[in-house]
Amino acid sequence: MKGLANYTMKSLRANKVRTAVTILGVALAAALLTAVFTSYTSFVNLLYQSEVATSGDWMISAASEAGDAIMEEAHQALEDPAVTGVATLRDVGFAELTEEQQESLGQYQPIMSAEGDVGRLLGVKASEGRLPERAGEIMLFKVWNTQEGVQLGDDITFSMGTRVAVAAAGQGEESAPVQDGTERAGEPTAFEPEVASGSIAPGSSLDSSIGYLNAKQDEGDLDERLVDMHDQTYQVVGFYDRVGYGMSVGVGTVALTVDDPAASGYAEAYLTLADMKTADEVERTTQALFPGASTTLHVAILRYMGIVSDTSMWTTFSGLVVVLAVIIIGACVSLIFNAFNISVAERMKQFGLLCSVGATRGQLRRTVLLEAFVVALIGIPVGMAVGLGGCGITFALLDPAFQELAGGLTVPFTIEADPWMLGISAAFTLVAVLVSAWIPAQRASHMNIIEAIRTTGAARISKRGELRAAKATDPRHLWRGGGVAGRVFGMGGKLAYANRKRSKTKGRAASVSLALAVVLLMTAGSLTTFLFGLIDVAMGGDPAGEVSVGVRLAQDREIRGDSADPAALQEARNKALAEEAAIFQGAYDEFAVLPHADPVGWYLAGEATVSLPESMVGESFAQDADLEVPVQGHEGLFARARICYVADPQFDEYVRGLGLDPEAFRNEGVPRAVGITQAYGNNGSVYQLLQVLKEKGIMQIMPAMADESALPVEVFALAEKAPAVTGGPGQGICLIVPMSLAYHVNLLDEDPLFRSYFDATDGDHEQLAQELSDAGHELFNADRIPYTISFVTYNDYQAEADSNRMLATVVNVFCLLFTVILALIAMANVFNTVTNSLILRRREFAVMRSVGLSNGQFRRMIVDECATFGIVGFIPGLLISVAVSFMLWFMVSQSIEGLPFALPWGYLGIAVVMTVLIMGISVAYGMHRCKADNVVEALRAE
Amino acid sequence: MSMLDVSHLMKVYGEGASKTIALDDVSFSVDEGEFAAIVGSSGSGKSTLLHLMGGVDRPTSGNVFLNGRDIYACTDDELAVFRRREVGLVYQFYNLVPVLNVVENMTLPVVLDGRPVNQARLASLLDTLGLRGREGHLPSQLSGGQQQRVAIGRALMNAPSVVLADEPTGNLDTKNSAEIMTLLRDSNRVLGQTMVVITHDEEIALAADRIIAVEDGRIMRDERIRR
Repeated sequence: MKGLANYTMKSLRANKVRTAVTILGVALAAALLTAVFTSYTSFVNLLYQSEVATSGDWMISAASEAGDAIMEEAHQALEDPAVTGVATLRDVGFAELTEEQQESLGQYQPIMSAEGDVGRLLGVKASEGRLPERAGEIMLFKVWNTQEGVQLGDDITFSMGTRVAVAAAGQGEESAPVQDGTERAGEPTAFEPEVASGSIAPGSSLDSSIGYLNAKQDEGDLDERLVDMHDQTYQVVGFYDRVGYGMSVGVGTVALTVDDPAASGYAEAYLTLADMKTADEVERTTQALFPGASTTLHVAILRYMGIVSDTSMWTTFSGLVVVLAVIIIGACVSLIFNAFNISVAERMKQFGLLCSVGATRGQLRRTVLLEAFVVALIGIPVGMAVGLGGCGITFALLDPAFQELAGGLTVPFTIEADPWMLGISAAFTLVAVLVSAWIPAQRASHMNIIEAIRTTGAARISKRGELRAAKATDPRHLWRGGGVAGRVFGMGGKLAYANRKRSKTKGRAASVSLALAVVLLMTAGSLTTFLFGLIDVAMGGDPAGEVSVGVRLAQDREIRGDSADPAALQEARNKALAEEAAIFQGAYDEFAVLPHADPVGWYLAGEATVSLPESMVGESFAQDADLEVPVQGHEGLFARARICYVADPQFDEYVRGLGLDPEAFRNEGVPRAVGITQAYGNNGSVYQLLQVLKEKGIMQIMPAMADESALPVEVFALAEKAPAVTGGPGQGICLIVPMSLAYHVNLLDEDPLFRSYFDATDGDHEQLAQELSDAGHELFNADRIPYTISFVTYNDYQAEADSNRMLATVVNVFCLLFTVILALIAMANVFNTVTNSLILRRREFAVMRSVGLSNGQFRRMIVDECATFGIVGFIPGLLISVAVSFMLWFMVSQSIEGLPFALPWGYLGIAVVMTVLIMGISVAYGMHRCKADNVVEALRAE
Repeated sequence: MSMLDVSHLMKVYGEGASKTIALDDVSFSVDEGEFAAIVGSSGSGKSTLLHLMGGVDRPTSGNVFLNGRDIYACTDDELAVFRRREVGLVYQFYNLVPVLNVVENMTLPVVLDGRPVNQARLASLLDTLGLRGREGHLPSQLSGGQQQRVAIGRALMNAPSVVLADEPTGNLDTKNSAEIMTLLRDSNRVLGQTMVVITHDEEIALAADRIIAVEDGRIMRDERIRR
């Protein structure tokens, strides 16, 4: 073996160019795989670190009103080898706040006593000062410093008490539903209150897990108040500005103290556990440690730790990584295989000679595999270093973009080189190299010795080729064949035709590498297309104009106070909306004449609960939105619907675009609306484009008060998209009605939001935003508006677009790098195979030239052959590309359902141009090499 | 009457220290219908001389005239046409196109020239060369002797002014060598084909009308054989 190892090393050294190309291929494979896996682990790490920075690294929490038990169990848990960290928070009390303080701090100042490493487990960090370390010290939310003027070192005295539920005025003593405190992070938004998981009676004390009770707002029976009031003084030792998970409770933002003797009742324990494989295991372990406590998983952290998996963006992300890794390995196997195949083909005579002097077939096979191993030994470390370096540079360049996107991440985007992933990259590359070398090695070991020794690099003939040749002897038809190529390219085409039809190899390697090139480019294209689709959905589409003004007036509360008579109430509501429509029309008209304003349109939008027959609702939406919540006394399905009163000019243009007469919507009687059929449902993190409505029909607008009657609305027409002014697909049912209807009927059960859009006449959106803001301050003030103003917002979308562009830049850079690297691999592969297939036939070409083949005939012959490789490679390449694009689309669809499948036609064009270009360059180079050859030398070559 | 004139032909390979003079001021003529043998040891320059006469290589200096025409005044494409029409080349290693069958290989120079195949000549050559019945065979399906006969057929198909054969029997056994030499001799005598054969075998050279001995790139001897 030593002798053959020497031979291997000498062969590698002797053929420097081929060795370098092969090492380059291996290094590229290793670099790409390392880059993909490292990007994956780094991104996961970034998400993990961000989550740790904002919410801590706790994996599960256990909470109970039986705080003493929780505290004791927490102490015992520290002894458990499975537990790596425990922190607890326990209610101390709730301090009264002034009305002004309530606006920024919540209903009360909850004070909780902490134990354990809350900094690490809950991500609580002092932005100023430090965390409390002994009894009597307290850390407050930053607002106490910025708005109340409290300074570090100050003593602060709170008037503290215990929260107690009391029966609302006019209510009996029945228990009322309350929310389960462990669902703090939930987002129940259905029109019905959440189903109660517990009950509370007047007189019960309320802990920090229970939201503020307000009978009027909750339409319930209970209010609450503080009892057992006493003063408590603390020394302020720190402020925090980032409110993590544990620091925000239902009634306010927590102030943190330690070892507080007043701590009692409700307690929460936060844990980190070692060696957990599944969420079930985490829960089981915790429940064993804290029997009877309710537990909450920190799903985000568990997901990033690989303990929880779900069907969401995460699946898409992991799926994309797998698809990319498979494509990269495929591309690299092809590149390396071609390099080895050519290398072996070129040395077939040498192998024959080695065999003839006693080398066994096994030794020959091992020679080639040893070559592969040596190449891998050099290529893999080089490639991995390049991959890591490339990631480092890319991440450093993208870090500002990520910081911008995340609104100032506290965690820098750095390389997380997971040794396992690096090992997998190296192993995959090594396997790819050995697999690539295996077939050439087999070929070397199975050659016919005599044929190998006699080999002259001539084409090998297929059996079918022999049959075809045997038939082509009829003097009348001699040289008449050649097909279309023969007619187009003359004698060159006929020779190419004969070669194509009779040769065994038929330039398969070139065709395969071309097919691969098409697949690689189209994959990059699909990836780009679908990623941008994903971003588009996540961004919610383009706004209608560059700057918008949004205003909400608080009419509802005032109307409610006016009357208890249902008819009068509806009348008052109608009147209020008519007045608002007039106010906003006036405002819009005033905005429209501002110097930089180019008006786009406006609308009023709000929500209402609707009931509708099941036949009108799309099936997927019915399942997704969980619509079957019954309302007493009504049939059908119920949902919240967004209703947009669109300014008449934009409404008329919109319905005309649908082929309808706008006048049909200004009928007397039942109001008519356009129902939007498609909307995004966001179930957790899975975006789904759902069919919301499938049929026209009558909906009932449900009454805001139980004693009012429902208002019918006719869905007179259906449309896939809402008018541009109201934005892209929303979530749930959306009805579009003309603004003129706002002067007659108020369909909303909440205060409408006025939104108007303007473009900047000269592109100066900042100036326009300023003008709108100035005009808005003038217009929307108590002197001119007869309602309370809830809020006025001015959105400079053009400025926001900058941050969106940043995300687009990130994706673009990623896609561009991926495309360029894949294109380079593809082009190197095609170039390698095409030029070598030509160079290997130099003797054959020399023979033809020696008997009079002219340069033109030679050129036409090669162009014909290569055009055929091109077509034969392009078509299957295109078909495989469609399959790969479909797979990528499928992966992205795991996050966004309804994203249309589209082929990246632009990239197809690039693939065509690239195919022609690289074939052209390869053929020109190959021909140049063949022509530069001295015919005499070529003929002598063996 | 001289058909082929070689005048002060020089061929130099490489430069500086690696400079090799393959041919050094070689001049001679070959008459129409003559059968000349060029003999010399390995590396003497005889193959270089034959390739220069056949227009497959260009000399460093000097001229080759065929029927009075200076072939190296031609462009590459004109030279390709010249090779198709005026020269028939036969190599030691046959040099057939592997994907073409016997008749296609033989007729290749004719079709490259865009002319119709002379079926009578083809049939006559197939008979003469003993290739009848093997018309559809590919080179890989033929023995060495048969492949060389196809190569001779290809050289003769166009009825060129001169056939240049480079060690045509160098890769064949004695029986096949004798047959090939007989074929070449017969085509000279019967068809009046001008023939230049390169060989290092003096015995084969004795079949020729004239022997030109080349050594170190120079003509050392040029003698006609009286029969």
